[in-house]
Amino acid sequence: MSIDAVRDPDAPRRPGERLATYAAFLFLCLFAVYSAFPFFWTLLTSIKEPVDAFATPPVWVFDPTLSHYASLWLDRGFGWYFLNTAIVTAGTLLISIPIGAIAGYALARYPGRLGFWLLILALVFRALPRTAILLPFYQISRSFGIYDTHILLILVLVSINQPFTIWMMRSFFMTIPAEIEEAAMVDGCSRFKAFLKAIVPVMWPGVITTSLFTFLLAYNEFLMPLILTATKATTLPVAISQFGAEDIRFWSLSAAGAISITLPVVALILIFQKRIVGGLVQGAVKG
Amino acid sequence: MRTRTFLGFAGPSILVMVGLMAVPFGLTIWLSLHRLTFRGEWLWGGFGNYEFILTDPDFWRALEFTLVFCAVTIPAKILLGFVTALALQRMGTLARTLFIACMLLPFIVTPVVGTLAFSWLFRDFGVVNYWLRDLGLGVNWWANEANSRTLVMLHYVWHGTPFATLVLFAGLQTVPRDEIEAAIVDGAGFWYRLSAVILPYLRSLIIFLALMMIMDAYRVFDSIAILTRGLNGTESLMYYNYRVALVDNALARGYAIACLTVLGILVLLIPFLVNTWNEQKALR
Repeated sequence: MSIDAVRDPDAPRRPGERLATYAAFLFLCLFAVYSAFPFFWTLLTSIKEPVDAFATPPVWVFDPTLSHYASLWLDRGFGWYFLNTAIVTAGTLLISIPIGAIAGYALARYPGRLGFWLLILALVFRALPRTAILLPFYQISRSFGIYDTHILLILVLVSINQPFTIWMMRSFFMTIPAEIEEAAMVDGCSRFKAFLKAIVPVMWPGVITTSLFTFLLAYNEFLMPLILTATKATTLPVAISQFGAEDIRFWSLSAAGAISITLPVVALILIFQKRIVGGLVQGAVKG
Repeated sequence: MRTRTFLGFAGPSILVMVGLMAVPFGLTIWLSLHRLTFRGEWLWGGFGNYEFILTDPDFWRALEFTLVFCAVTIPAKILLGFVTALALQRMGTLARTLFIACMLLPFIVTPVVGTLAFSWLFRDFGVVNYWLRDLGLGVNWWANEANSRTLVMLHYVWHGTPFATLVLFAGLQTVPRDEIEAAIVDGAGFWYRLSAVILPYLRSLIIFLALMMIMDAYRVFDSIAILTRGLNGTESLMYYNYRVALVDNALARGYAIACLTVLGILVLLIPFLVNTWNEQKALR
């Protein structure tokens, strides 16, 4: 990729501007390295023999090995944690998205005060520190025997995620003209039937974007499974935090775990970059 | 849409938020006024837990660190994010896509994993620490308060800057092009354009961004748990809350800390709420 190919076509062609664009390009290259280097180095560590992993000076050329991945997945039960994460993430998506979608739709169409206050309430909940909600869940789940179960994690994730979901869904449904379902209602459909017939077919872009963020929340969450699980329902972030981060003998193994957890997210970035960026800035720029 | 229909559609979501957030939060407040006996009974304790917490030096240290943490990392993230956003604006679509893909990594990848990857570079055999030693700057990041706090904040800026970049970049797209061009025609230099056209236009966006960042930085937990476990003066309020409630097993006091942190975030957000209120009023 040449520098010319990346220049902002609108930029005035003055020599100073041109120099500034070169400088910006250089700066961004440095920034990209700074952002990605820790992951890149972790990737290298994960395929190094222990002797290469903490050699001084650091080695760049070595015989790669996949043995850490093998021992991670086969001997260390990483697959079990992966399954836990998959169950919890899927469960959260399956509950959170449908109820968030209909609530977001209602908020976009209902002009009354109640809707306004619901949105404010959601904002307040979004600002609540997690412990204010998690500690009662800890206590109650221990006395009712649902501590350390998937369903507990799913319920808490769904509730913590609701405020964000309904805000995002609402702003998406605001962009869909009301005439669409009104036409269906004129034909004699109830509001709910009209929603199914007229809105569901066109709501997928909003659902996909919201699902991406719900997925990331459930997949990445640390404090919640740390407090609410012990052994049976432990998810990936908690598992890897206990793999011996400080003991360098386990560096390569932890690194293999880190890369295993990172890969699905990298895949999401590659496939859905536009939606992720759009979703991240949506609330800020409109609000 | 009628209210009954609205309640039908929003009902499940309201039920979840009330049942699984409002009720637990109410319980937190209620139980913070109790004490737990050795037999596992909850007895009324008045403000005893609060008295204990408010006279606990660790609480004040955690509060001080959390405020320092917000005050240092948030301006740093916004400044660095703004420079990056300005640079991104000069790039073509392809370069933008590639740079943004790299930038998303620290922000989107599982925070625990990102923190681990970051911390390995700075440990004794870590590659960045090796380079720093070559430059005569090698330090043990886990040796004392100043170093550990620096490390934790360096990590947080690394993790959070991309969000500022993306939001500010999107904001830059909304600055009216003709106003910038008019300034250029008037012979305005880069700094003048920045301070007289672009920054005033982005003012409310930057305030909003700071608001989001305060909410998140105030409850920082994951990176502290991985990097330092709250040692060396890096215990944030959330980590303090976690430690007291679940490591020291003083659940009742944990409830009181949770209430105090909620109170704290409300106080922190007051200037922003006042600002938003005034802006809304000015609009009417």
